[in-house]
Amino acid sequence: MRALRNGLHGLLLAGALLLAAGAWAAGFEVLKAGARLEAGVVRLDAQIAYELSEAALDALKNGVPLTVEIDIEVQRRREWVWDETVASLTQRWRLEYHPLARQYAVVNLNTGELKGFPTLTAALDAMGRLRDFPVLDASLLAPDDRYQGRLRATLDIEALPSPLRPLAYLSGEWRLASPWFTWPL
Amino acid sequence: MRKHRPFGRGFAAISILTALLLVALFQLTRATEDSGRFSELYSVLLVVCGLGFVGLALQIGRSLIQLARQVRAHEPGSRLTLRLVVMFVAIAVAPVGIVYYFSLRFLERSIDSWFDVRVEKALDDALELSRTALDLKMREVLQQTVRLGVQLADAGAAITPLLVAELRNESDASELTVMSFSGTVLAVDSFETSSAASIAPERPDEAVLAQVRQGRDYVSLDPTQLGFQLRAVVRIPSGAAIGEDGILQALYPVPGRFSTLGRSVQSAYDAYKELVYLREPLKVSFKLILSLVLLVGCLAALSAAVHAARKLVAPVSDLAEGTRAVAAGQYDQQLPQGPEDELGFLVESFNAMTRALAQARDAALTSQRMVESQRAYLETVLARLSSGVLTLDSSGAPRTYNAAAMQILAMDPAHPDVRDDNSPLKHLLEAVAEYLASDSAEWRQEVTLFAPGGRRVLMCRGSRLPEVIGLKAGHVLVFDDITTLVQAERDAAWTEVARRLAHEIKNPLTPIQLAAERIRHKYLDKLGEEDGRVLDRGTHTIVQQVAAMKEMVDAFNDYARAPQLKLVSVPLNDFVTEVLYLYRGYPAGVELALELDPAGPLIEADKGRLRQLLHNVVKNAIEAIRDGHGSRLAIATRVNPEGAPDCVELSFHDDGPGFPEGSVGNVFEPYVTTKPKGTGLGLAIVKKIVEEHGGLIRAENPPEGGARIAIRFPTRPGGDHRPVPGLPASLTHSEEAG
Repeated sequence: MRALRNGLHGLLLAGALLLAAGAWAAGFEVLKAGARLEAGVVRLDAQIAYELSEAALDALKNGVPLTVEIDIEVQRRREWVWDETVASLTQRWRLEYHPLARQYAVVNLNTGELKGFPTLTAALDAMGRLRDFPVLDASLLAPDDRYQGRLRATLDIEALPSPLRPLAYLSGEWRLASPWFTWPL
Repeated sequence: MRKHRPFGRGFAAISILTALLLVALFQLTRATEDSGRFSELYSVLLVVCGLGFVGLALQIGRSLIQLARQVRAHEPGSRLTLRLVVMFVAIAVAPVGIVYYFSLRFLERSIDSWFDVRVEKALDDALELSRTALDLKMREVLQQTVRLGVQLADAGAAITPLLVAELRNESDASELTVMSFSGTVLAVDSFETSSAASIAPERPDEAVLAQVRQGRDYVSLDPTQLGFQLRAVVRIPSGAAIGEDGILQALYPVPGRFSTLGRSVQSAYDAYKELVYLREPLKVSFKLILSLVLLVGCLAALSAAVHAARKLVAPVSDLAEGTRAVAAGQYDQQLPQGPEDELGFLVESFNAMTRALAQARDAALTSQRMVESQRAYLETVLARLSSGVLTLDSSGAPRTYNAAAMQILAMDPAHPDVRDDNSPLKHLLEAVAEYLASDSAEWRQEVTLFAPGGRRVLMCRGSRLPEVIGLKAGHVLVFDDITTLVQAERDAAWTEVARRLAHEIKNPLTPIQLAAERIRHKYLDKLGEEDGRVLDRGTHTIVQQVAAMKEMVDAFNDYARAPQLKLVSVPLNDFVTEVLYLYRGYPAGVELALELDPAGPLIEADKGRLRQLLHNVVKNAIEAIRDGHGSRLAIATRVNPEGAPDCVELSFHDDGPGFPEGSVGNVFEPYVTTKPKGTGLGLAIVKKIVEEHGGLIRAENPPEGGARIAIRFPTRPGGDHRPVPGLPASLTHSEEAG
């Protein structure tokens, strides 16, 4: 049963990837993710590849900041019903272009930390790298249950200026999101 | 009246929906301008507006479909409603369309007017100027950093941290970091010594490090949370102190004035750039909202048009329905109160009209009922009259007659044929024709008619009708059948005559006879043979004639006498057989045939009188048969003959010549005789006896020939021997009255 479900998941994932790859070159993708236990805290390391579409790049260069959301969830696996979400947190990043400095800046909206990068690639790399990110306290996890973590990154359309939003909702170029990436915990 | 108006509620819903939509659209406009706090709700507002719009469209579509269905079903008022709706919409849409068109034009123009090439150029130039200014500063900073690097190159590894701190204090730098060539931090000194930044210095990007390693110094303007900072990364040349080349990173704050101005320029540039970029989407958004507002306005106008048209037409359709109802004869329908205008006045007038109509109809109905009941009353009275009533029109043709008239005139109630020339009615009209022709207002006349039942004597009174109420001066005839009355009077007169005759004539007869006999006895011997013969013949004649007279007087006596009846129960069959025993063996050449009812009827009768009755009838019949060369007399008894229950019929039927034509009705009157001899009292006495017994006698010439006398005795003595037939209770109109 589980094998079947896993297979189905895999199939769906592959289909989604294929679709994403076929439909447009741009997109987000979680390359790898893994958690480890460190001093009683589950910490996440992950790498996400952001590839912006033409429209998004154009907007960025024209002074429109882009906001990326990273949703992280920890789920308790259950046999017969859907998995229970134990913890869920969202990291928001804002990518903006500073014309005076000719630099790209990445702002962590959760902390307010701002960092400038001379190139877009460097900025996207920095934004896509999660190191020792604390997810939850290990004491919240029951030792007998099996857990899994999952992760995805999406472009937040609601954070765009309002005139762009209807277009962004309708256009595929703006629908930038990675599928859920699941790793065992 | 149909008062089903679901549109009021629908219209309220549409109104509320429209108001909400307009509010939402207003907020949407504010959100588009990105100025309000509704910016975050933009998408939600858009979805809400879309849904509201769809709901509004559905609601209005429903009412339009309903209207279309009503038009197709030809409901009253629906076509007028449709026309009004079309008119309203046409009136509303044209100006709205024009306003829409110009609004779109103005929208394009005004958004385009935000952008100016010169402004754009000025902003670009301002940015460039800022960069140039900062570039000078950066060059300066780089030179300073290179100098610092040279100073550090001479220092040994041990004193490097101290030197770094010293150098930082001396220079403008906010942070100095010395790194190994591979990027490991060797020493750091920060303006904020105690802050976390000193512990974890900002590492330059890997690409920067690579550039520096290749010997190219790096300087950049970095954005920070607060504004800008300058970053210079140089290679520390290898000296005695350090075995290999190092890397120095120095961070400098941008002087306050530069920072403020730079930020200001950048934000203005950013905002303008964004605005230019968003120009088209912004236009689309505004157009979308404008179109939504237009559509909502149009839909609201349409809905209001439907509602207003229905409201306007409602009294008209009520009137149409009411008119139909009145045309169909329903006057008791009142329309609901209309609005306070000309339509309302019309509705009020219509109601007043129907009320008046209803009252008129009720009055007509009442009077008609009164006339009907009076007529019915009159008819009943006329039907119960024993007198016949007949009305004639001005030409003398019968118009109406009552049941008694029909009975007296022997008309068939089912098919009263007034044109039959031989009918009694015709005879009656002929008899009174001279009165009808004359001018006399009233007259009376006794008329004798020959009806199938015999001669009838009518007392007829007539009077001319006045020339009013559409009768055209006809006549009304009232007549009574007085046949029986006349008969009774005649019988009574005869009885009196007979009694007197008997009394006055019989007294002198005996002296005459005695005197004649005495004369004969005394003078027969004394006279000679010749005279004696004359005397003998004379006295003989006298005696003989006196005897005959006596006989006649006795007969009169019999007729006049009303003896006390001694009624006993008589078995009629036995009694008839016994009495007629005398006539057995054809005493006069006539065969007597008895046809007796086996039921053996009993009647209450006086035997002597009954015997006399039988003798009289049979004798009379035999004489008639003998004269007429007949040979047979049938005597029959029958219990309950048809048409006459509770009675016994005794009938005599011969095959003689029958009663003479015209005298069938009065064969029972005294001195009506056809025979050469006889007193003419035989059948009169028979009738008298029958009547003494409460019976009925009748003479007729049956169609099969001969004569027939039928006598009916009641089986219940004292009872009503002659049941009066029920009279039909309707006045019959003749078919050809006019």
